[in-house]
Amino acid sequence: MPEIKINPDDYFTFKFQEGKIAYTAGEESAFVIPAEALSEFANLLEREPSNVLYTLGLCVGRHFGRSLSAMYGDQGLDADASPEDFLNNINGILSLHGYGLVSLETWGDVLLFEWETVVDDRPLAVHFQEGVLCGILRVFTGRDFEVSAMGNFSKGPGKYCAGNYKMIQWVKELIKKGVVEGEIVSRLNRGEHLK
Amino acid sequence: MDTEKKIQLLHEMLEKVHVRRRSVGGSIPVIPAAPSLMAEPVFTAYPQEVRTSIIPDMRTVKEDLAASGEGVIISQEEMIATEEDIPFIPEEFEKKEAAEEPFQERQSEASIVSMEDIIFSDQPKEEPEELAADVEVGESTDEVQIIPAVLEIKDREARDERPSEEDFEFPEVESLPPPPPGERREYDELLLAAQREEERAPAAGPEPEPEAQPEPEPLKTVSPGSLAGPEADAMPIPEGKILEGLPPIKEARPFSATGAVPAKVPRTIGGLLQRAFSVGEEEKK
Repeated sequence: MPEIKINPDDYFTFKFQEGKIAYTAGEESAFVIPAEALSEFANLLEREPSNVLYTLGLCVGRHFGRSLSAMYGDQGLDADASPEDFLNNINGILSLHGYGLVSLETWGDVLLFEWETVVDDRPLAVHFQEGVLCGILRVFTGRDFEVSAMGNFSKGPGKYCAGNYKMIQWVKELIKKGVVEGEIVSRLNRGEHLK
Repeated sequence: MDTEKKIQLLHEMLEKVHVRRRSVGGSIPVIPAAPSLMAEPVFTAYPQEVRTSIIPDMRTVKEDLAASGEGVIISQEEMIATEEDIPFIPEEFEKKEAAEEPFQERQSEASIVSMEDIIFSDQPKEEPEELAADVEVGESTDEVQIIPAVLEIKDREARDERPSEEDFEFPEVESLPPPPPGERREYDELLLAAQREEERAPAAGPEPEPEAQPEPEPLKTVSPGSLAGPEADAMPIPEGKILEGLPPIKEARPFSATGAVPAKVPRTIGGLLQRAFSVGEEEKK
């Protein structure tokens, strides 16, 4: 079994006299957003709530990405860790924040992350998770990764496609048109998004 | 890992893990959501398309057609199509092939039975349901199954029974009761097409001189109907089924027919992410 590098003992420092939580590694402040609050937040937004949630997730994801990258010596794409090892550590970070677990699937060249929704019955919250994954991948790889949910799922596990900007914009267009996940993946593998 | 093991690990973790309350000392036990439950590898490498398992069959079809000098061009969509989308192979083509091929060469495949020698049975057959009709062959009790576009004949050779001429002495068509009017229309049409085909076919004669044989035609784009004469030419050609050329082999590559992941799949997270970032670019090159 791959070694898990997460040490929950020292991950957070709860500063009760200040009423704050800090990431022990970098003295950066942290706060945990209750899922219920995020759900209400999504309901209150009227204008482009998806963008707000995505941006919020992106900020969170960048922080996660820095933690993850440090575990692999900031090697980025040169990291020779196994996918299992990578996922165990990314799941450690997500779990410490109550964000659930992700799994990874390869469909040809296409990479899909499967991740349960952090807030049930709130499809908009999926944009938050898109941002989190995107932030993690951008910081870890140093590339301008984009992420798109493969549908408007609101409950249970959903799949997220990761790739470059052009590819993900193409994927989002197909999703809007109602193209199913399997067909999108097949067409991506044929390079149709490059035409 | 079963649930019991997970619970056990969770309890162990509860005993070990404490988040330090540094400012005031002491510690608060917390339940880590992750490590104890992460023992199972969550990475899964899916073979992408189980559906691609039909590729070898399609290649076989292509090779057979190429060997006969005629070619049906198959698009990549068809190669990864579902079973229901397997391209239509006109029965006239099958029949023509059977008529042109010497009997000795077909011994290992099946006995040749003309459509004229088939008596349709009006008795419904219980199984299998998908069969379009049940027929009897001459005086024999052998059954011949007809499904759309494919004529399957049980092979006597499979039972080591070498077919004799008697096996092909079938009753005259005229002596048979005609099918009820309005029924079996499509088979009537098939019979008619078979008769016309036979009329057009040259009389059997001595083997032509080798130099008199025409050069085999190169592989070409043809429509399914054009193989069987003018009647079949009128058949509608399904849109999107014919392409100008054969797809390159690598386009049908993504995964092997056995579902095994090809060796080129990177096994490091860096490699996987690098590949995901440039999906399709390699194919375009």
